[in-house]
Parts: sequence; structure tokens; C-alpha cells
Amino acid sequence: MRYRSQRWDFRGFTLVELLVVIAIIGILIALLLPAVQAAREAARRSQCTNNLKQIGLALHMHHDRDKYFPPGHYAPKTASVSCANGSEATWFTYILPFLEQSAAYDQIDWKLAFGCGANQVVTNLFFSTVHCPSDKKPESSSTYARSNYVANNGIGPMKEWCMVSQAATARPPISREGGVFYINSNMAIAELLDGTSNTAMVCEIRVSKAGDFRGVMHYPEDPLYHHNYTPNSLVPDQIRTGFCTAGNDPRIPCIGAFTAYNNRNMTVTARSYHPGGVNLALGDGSVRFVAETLNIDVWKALCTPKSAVGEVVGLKNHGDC
Amino acid sequence: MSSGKYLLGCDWAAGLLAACLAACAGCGTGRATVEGTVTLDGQPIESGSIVFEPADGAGPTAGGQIENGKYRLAEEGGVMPGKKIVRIIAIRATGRKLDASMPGAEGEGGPSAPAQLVDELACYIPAIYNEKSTLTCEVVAGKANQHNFELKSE
Repeated sequence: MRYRSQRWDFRGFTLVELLVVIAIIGILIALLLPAVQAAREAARRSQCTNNLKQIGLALHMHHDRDKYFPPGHYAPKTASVSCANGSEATWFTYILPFLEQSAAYDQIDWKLAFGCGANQVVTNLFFSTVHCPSDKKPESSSTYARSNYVANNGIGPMKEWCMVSQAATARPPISREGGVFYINSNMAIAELLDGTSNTAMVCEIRVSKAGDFRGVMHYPEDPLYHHNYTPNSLVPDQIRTGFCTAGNDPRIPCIGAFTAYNNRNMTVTARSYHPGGVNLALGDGSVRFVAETLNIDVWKALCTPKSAVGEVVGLKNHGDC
Repeated sequence: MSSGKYLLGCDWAAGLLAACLAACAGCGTGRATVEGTVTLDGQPIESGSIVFEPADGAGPTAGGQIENGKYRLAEEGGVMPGKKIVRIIAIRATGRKLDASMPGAEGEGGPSAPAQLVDELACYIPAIYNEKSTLTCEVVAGKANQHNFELKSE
């Protein structure tokens, strides 16, 4: 009996004590959760940075082989008014062999435009290197896979679509700052006169779930972005009217600006889901985190491979890769 | 007695929590809310973009959508205080048609497979309000800024 009373003669917890304990545990979890989430995002960001590094290196391998960076997008130099038999290949198409996708690259029928016949295997090819894990995995479309990584097309809007009456050897005159990757560009490192570490090559975008073109890898207007507005800015992108639908994510804003390839009027801003900025691969192959609060002057200067006067890009070091 | 003491303790903790929250709310992005209306010749701009660019190039750009003549940039989409150059872009059909077919192409032109005639689109806001903008405004920190823009086609 004595034993029993010792065991059960216990005052128990009052309600207040219990609530205090629960409150303390709650506060501890509340403190811990954001830290865990931040650690997970940091891990995703470093994977994202690594993918960007691979793409930067692939561009350099292309340069090693051909002595120039691949064109932003390719249009055949036909003499007629049409861009018939346009291959519509993009810089992404040309670096596939350097991203361990040579099997796909070998399947390309260069007589066909992209999105046609056998080439659909390539245009629809999604692989993990082209996806930044901070963004949701893009839903597969029937014909065109999309990537979070896009190349520097200078200051938009991008309007070029055809090589009408261009001499077969000439690089097209482009009536705007075209960055490093524009129509039929073949920039060599020697032309990055601002210095390779002061020239943007590849950056990130948020891929829309509404299924628009932004980020499509193998179609001329899409694997490209512009330096008109600072990263993560919510100025609407100018995209094709039919694809800028009401259900569009407000974090990836758009306005309809053109209806077809021949009245192209495209501007896309670099954006990511990393807090505070975007990853940017520079001409020297390094990857830096660029703050979204950087000066618009610096951001614009980063896109120009050569300025009239040697511009000094005051890019703060936010942690090299 | 003892429950009163506990309650007092809880009040003190709640006060501390409230103070923390207030402090966190204060240390935001430093961006100010800007809102207002945009009209062209008295007509509200149905759909377009508005951009606030720092006049001296120091600082990020901000902007957003104009819908039914109104815009509102707030929170993370807000504008850093200072003197701004304002650019307004709105695009609509010109009424002309464009042939978007690709004669001779072995297959369609692109993901949208443009078949034949499509609307030609163009920006209908004069260049002095966008590319060569003369519009400016001053954004002040710590309050909701109201800026209305009445544009003229001529």
C-alpha cells in the first residue's frame, strides 16, 4: 500500500504549466524552422550555382573548339524574304555535347527547323543540369523543354528574326546592344573588351507554370534575357500575347507584346527564387551571386562586352563560386 | 494568486513578442509604396507596364503592371526612395495584319505554329514617355506615394 501511494500521490501538472511548456516548445520550433528552411534553400542555391558553372564551362569548351562562343540563336542566311528552313538552333543547342548530351546532339537533323520531325527529341529534352532546384521543375510541354538558365541578349526588346539579304559571311548589324548572345553572333573572348569578369554570360529566370516560351531551350527568342531592369524586378516581361494569360504568376509578370516571330518584341528580366538576388555566370567562367539591389547602371554595364570607354563595373563580391 | 502571477508572466512575454514583431516590421526592404493612375489623352491605359528607374542610375529599377489605368507597387515590388525617371509602355494591335507563315519551311514556324495572318502589335505610347522618357517623379520614404500620369499623344 505504501508503495502504491508513493507512486500515485503525485500532484500532476497544472494547466498553466502545461501551456507554458507547449509555448516554449512552440517558440523553439518557430526559431528552428526558418533556419532549416534557409539551410535547405542554401543547398538548392549551391546546386543551382553548380549547374550554372557547368553551363559556363560548356560555353568555354565550345570556345576552345571553335574559337568563338555559340550564337544566341541561328537564322540561315537566305537571300529570299523568308527565313525558310530556319534551323532556329540556339546557344543551348550548340553546347549540348559539352553538357554530356552528345547522344541527343547527334540526332539533330540540321536541314530541319527545330520543333520539326526528329528534332523534337532534342527540343523536348530536359535534363537536371538545366534546372535550378529553387524553382519548381517545369512541367513538360509536348515539344519544348524549358530551362532556368538564359544567356545575355543585351538590352531589349529583342526584335531580330531573319537574315534577309545579309552577306553570307557577315555578322548581322544589330541596332541595339545585343550582349554576347544574339542572332548569329560568334563572339570570341578577345572581343570581351570590358574584361571577361565584367561581362555577363548566363543568368537565371523564373520559369512560368503557365507554359509560355520563357526559358524554352531550343527556340530563338527564349533562352535569352535582357539587362533593361535589375534582377528580380517585377517590371512585366514582354512576351507573346497568346501566352501571357490571366492565370500568370504575379512573381513572373508579363504583358503581351507580339504575336509571331516576325513582329518579335521580347524583353525578359533575370529573376530567381533565391532570397535577395540571382546567380550570374560571367565571361571568365566564374559564377557570382548578384544582389537585386545593385545599381541599374552596373547591371547595364555588365551586359556590354565592349563599351566605348573602358567601363569599370563595380560588382561587389557576393561570394565567388 | 499563483495563476495571477503566471498571467503576469505571460503578459510580459507577449509584450516582448509584440515588440519583436514591431521591430521586424520596421526593418523591411526600404522600398516605398507608389500608386496612381495612368491615362493617355484622358483615357485610362487598359494594360501596360510602368517602370521607375533611378534618375542617377544608382539603385535598382522597380515597376509593375498597369491595369485599367491603375497601378500599385508595394512591398517587395515597391520603389526605392529618390528621384525617378518613369517609363510607360503599352502595346496593342495596330489594326494591320502580318503574314507569319514561313514559306518553304519544312514544318511550322515555332511553338505557336503561326499559320497565316496575325495582328501586328506596337507600342502606342509616345517615345517621350518610354524610350526617351521626360517623365520624372520624387518617391519619398515611409509613406504611400500617389503619382498620377496624364499622357498626351501629341
